Amino acid sequence: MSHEININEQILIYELKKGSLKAFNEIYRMYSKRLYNYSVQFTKSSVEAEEIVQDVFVKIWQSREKILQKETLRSLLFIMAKHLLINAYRSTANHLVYEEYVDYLDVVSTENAHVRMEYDEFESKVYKVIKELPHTQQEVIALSRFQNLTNKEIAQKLSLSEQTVKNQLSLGLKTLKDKVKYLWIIMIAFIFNYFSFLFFILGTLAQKHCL
Amino acid sequence: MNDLDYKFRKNTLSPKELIEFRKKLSEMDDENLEVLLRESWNDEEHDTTLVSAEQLNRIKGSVDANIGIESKHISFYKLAMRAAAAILLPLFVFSTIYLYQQNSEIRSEDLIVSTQQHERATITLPDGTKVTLNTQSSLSYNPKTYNQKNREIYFDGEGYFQVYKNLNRSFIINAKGLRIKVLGTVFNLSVRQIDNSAELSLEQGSVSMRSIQTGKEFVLKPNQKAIMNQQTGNIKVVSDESIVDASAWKRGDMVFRNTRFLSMIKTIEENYNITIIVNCENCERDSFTGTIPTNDLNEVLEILERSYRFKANIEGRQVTFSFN
Repeated sequence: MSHEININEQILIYELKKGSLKAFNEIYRMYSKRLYNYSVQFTKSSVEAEEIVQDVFVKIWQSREKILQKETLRSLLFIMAKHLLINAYRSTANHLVYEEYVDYLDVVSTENAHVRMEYDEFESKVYKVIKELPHTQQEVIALSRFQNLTNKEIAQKLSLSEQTVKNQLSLGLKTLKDKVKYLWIIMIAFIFNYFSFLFFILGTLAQKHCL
Repeated sequence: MNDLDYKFRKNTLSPKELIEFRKKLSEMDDENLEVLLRESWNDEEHDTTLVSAEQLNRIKGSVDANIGIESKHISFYKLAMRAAAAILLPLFVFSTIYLYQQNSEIRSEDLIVSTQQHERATITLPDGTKVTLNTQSSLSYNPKTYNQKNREIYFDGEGYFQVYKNLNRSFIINAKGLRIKVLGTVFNLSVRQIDNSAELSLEQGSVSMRSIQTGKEFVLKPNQKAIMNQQTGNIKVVSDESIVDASAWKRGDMVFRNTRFLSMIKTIEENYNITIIVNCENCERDSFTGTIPTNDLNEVLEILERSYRFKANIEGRQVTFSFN
């Protein structure tokens, strides 16, 4: 998007302030895509990015009369979104699933970038794996990694010794990592099989042609 | 940090870099993070292939729902409601009109005029026909249809009809077991539900009278009287020179011709709503001929006292005749 002053946008802002839905729809059309794509970089999850877009545009409509920006809404959109973005930033960066995803990408992305799982898909797979863990391990992981409690707090909450929490957590996370890795291995093996089959076919065809 | 931030956003952090990134991020406060974000928001082009138009429309749908604007789904619902209203409104209007008319028809369906005991009434129908009702009689007609094709009424009791002459519209009387058709006449009709016979005494014009039971039709000429047996439905037509006697009640007279004494007493009792006790042994066989007023009991008693030479004693509604 350019930084030129857009006469059209000025008119749209003016109309929006007067309550024009048409102008609001047009502004949505102009900015929603950009906002979504920006947000999804931090949330990694499409659902959360959608929520941010929704939230921001609802706020814009509700406070349309108080809009001070006259030429462009680009900065206003950022102001409306920034708290949500910062929260998403910190929460994603520290998330267990993200950590796993980074590991996963480290293995997959170099050679097979085109077949890699999107974050959403990966996330749901990780949660599936977590659900297969023993109940205590599930609980400890959820409290430790999603609610960010300390081992001491978890111990109190679950009436376990701190040592048990530590053990369960490391055990659970290890199983989780192994299982997630196992997922990649299956997938990578599948991809190798696919390619080797393809090459086999191509090879036979090439041979036939040569003959 | 800018480099790590960029890699974080583009999903290109290595596991090692993630550890460093997390550390730096935890050291950073929100204000600095905001500055970082503002830069990337303002200065970078963002990959716009990650989101489909369909997804954006869906988000817009929830935005609209949140701000209370009907989205396409809701507007379809509204459209349906509008269509329904468009269809139903005329329906309601028509049904209202229809029901109103029905209702007013029901209300105006039958207009009934009836007389109680010792009551007489004269009514003039919309076409100018005059009917005088004797006691305990009733006449009903539908004001909507009356005088449209014809003039049809339902009748029970005794009445004196002076039918306005209209050759195009027959005057039809439906009575117990009878259907009487006239064009313009004067006659007395007595068809009481409780009586065993019906009588029509024609004074002027002509009347056609059909027994519903036998289906036979008789045409009467002036000074003729038709008597129908209600049980058999048979009609007997007789000539009667004193035809006006039948309608004597209308003129305030009771006319008796060779009437048995007790039958006359009974008529008087009914007319004046009194009880008459007669202490006589052989007067039962007497017959009486004469005219007695229907509206003057004293005169009635005087006539009887003079004719039979007895004394009338009135106590309340009871009259005792005692012979001297």
